[in-house]
Amino acid sequence: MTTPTAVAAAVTALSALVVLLSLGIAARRSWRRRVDLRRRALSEPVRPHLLELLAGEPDEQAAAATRLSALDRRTWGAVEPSVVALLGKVRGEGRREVVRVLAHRGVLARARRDLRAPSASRRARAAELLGVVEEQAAVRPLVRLLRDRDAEVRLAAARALGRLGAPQAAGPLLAALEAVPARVPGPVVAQALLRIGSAAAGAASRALASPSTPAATTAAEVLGRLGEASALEGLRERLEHDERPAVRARAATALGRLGLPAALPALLPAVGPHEDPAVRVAATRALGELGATGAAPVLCALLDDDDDRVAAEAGPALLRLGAHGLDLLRRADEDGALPGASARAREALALAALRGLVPAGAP
Amino acid sequence: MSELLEAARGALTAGLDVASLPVLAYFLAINTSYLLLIAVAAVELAGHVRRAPYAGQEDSYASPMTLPVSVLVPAFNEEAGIVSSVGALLALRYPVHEVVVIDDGSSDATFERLRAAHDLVVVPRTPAREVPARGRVLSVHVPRDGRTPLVVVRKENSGRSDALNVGINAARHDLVCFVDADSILDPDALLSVAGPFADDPDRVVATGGAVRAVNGCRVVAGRVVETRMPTGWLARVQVVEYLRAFMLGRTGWSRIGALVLISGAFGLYRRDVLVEVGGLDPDCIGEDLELCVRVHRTMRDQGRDYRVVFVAEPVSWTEVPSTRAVLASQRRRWHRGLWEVLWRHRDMIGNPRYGRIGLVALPYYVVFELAAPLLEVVGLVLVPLGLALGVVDAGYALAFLLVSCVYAVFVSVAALAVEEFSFHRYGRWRDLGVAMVVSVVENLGYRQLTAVWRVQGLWAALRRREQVWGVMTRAGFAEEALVPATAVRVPLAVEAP
Amino acid sequence: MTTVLVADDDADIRELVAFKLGQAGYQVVTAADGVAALETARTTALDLAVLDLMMPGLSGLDVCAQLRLEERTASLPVIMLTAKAQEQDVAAGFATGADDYVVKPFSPRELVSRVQAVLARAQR
Repeated sequence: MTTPTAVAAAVTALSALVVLLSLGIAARRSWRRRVDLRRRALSEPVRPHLLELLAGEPDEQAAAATRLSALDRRTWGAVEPSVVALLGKVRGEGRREVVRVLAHRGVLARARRDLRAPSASRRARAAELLGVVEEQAAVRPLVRLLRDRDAEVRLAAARALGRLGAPQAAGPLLAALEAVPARVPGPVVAQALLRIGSAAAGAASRALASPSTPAATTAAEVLGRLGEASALEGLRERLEHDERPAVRARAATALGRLGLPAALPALLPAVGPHEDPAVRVAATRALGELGATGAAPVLCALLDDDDDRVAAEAGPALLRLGAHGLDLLRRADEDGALPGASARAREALALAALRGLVPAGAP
Repeated sequence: MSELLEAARGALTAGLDVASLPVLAYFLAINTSYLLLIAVAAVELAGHVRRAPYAGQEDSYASPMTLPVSVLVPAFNEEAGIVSSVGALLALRYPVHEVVVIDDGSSDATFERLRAAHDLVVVPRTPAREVPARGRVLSVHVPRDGRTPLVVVRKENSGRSDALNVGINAARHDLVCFVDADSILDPDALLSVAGPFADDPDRVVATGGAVRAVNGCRVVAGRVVETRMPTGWLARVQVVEYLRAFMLGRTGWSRIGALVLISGAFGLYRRDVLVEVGGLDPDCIGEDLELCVRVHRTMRDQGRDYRVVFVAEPVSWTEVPSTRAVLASQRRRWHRGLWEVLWRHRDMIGNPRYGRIGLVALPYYVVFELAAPLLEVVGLVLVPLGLALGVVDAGYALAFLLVSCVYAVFVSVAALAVEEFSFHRYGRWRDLGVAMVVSVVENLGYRQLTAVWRVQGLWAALRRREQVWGVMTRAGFAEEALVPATAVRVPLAVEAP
Repeated sequence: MTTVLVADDDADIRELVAFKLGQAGYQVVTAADGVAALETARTTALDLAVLDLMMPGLSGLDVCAQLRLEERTASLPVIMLTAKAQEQDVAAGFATGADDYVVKPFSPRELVSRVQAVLARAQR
């Protein structure tokens, strides 16, 4: 039987592989060390100039800018990552100087080209850079990248559009959510829209009625956080008539954030016992944020609710209604008829005392 | 007498003739499966490393949309490190999070030290009842300043699983993170492990973080500053084992969508899913494996599109046993837990209804995790016996041993290579050398020892099943309660050869 | 010589702020985490501390709270420098006793102006 030779062959082959892998590991490590050392050696002398560029006096900045623009390719290659990293951490004049240097060195032009590169990671990195640099001219190509075939590229593009704060990107960002499956995650779109600010309100209001749940919920969330009073009607409409509990819940939260008393008539029925639990919790919290004393009796009744989460929200919500809510909580605490409600009231009052909202020594 | 010997030889010869090829095939298969997992993991990690520069972690940190996390820390007699541990958890870099410590009826100064450190006061908190919990909640405490997001729940002693269930009830936020009281987390650990939830909010229900051995590492201000190999050989072997089995093995499983184990030492779950499946099972020894499998079962029963993801970023550290006694009891416990979970969910094994979990992951665990130590131990007994009786050809035995040994070394070195090309945390050349030596040395005793311990764990599991369920429950509790503070709660089922 | 402590776990930020403040004529000591920051505050004569909120070990809030509790440092001016920009974080920062709150990304020039303003107020 050829077993001994087969075994010998197997052992030899495997041992050879082991040796190869070990050499590979050693080689990789040495290479990395060398590259690190070289990079550090090249960038150390340049570092002070970089700091001057970011944080120096105008004449120092000009001098530093000239130095950095004139660096040879290798040194610049070693320094470029730190430049980009620092760029994201500062604002103001220093930033503008850095962007100018990057433009001068062709980094921005290369990034613009890379938006169409065959490699997904190049596209994504280019998108990220253009976002950090806030290159307004890149808005259109970035919007195109929202339809890229690679998920990471789409993510990078969405984030970059947020940093650019381009109003014309709001519609496409929400449209990316309407695709099935959504092309970009909801939270990323929301963050981008928030960065764009009030200019995104129009597109968001239109997206409220979208059949796509991620689009509708994100739109509601964004409008609430932006404090767009004009969205009141749209959000009320969603809370009262939308069939999806997720959308109703977000609409309720948004109405709370808007803080407009006109939302009260829509929120009060939303805590009703037949509503979806998530919507009830959101509406209870929203009633607190709204701060309208008209909600007090409803919230008081909720202290004893069967749903633990709703009851837990009722106490803090009452606290936010000010003296009237505080009063009702004290009464609920003393009222022995509903032990559950008393317990929750006591809990809210204790937390209030800790936060200094109530004079110490209050029951 | 010689008749007996002849009979024995005959039986042994026959047995070995039948078994030799399948056994060889088995060992080749198990190591090849590890190799495949490592290869899949390598692809995944390559992508992960490539994407890191634009992964947007800073964005998540600054985004108001990032889901808040409740970090649950079950603590039993942890007075030595609880204050620094909680302090480090409170200082994690995450936009909104709270730390919920569940004091599982500690008999030492665990609570006292926390009370002193954070000036805790009692609050009349009504505990929720969403997840069934057995231990009675005695009191709930928060810091007097009213702003530190810390909650300490004192309850009757009833074991770690039950403590976590109480924690789930007390948690305020939508994501719940299980952490061990003696684990060390990197400041960005929560950001890392919550990343998948941000990237795929509708589908991801649970993520697990990689746990690495902290033995030998330099720790400053509750943070691992330099990763080093430990000095003891037992700990050293475990470092390589954790790299191969936990980091790479789980990355591989996660990539093919069949991750069944999220470590109890660092895992993140959606709170509503935990409530839906009913929390952890206090009666099961392998509670973290059991929870994950039950989540899979529930999700698939409902036909939901979901994902369970493993995050390979080295952000969580725990102390691994450095003495044989503690290691032995840990491995016995793990294997017993593995049996219990597989037995309990046996209807999922091989069941196409449960997709990759039922058809790939669970059968794999049965064949290559549960049964592997049995085969090893049988081999350990039979081969020397055969040699002694002259039945086994010494050359053949040696050849077989050599092949399986070298293959196992190859798998370990492959794991080291992937680590070097991805996270490369072990900076010193000396550590790399030690790791290589360990890859070889592991097969000369450690593997065999762990096989014996695992078989002992299996035996204990089978024996206990004979007893009445009620009695077994009691024993389970008692054991959990008596586990000394030095024993480490570490992730389950090690995929070790 | 006016001494300023800069505590941040990000080396880039430390370097940048140290550079800018050094240019403005201050002597700068740096710390990479909360524990080191507290130590430095206790052992060195400081005139102002710039603290990052999120640091390993002890957060900037913890450090500030601790400083306010100790007699020697109770009136040490503190400026928070952090990426956490939510309302509640700003409120918490001021509630703990910070004198000013700067959000990252920040303008180094602006930071120096604020340092100067806070120091001027403190002297009065």
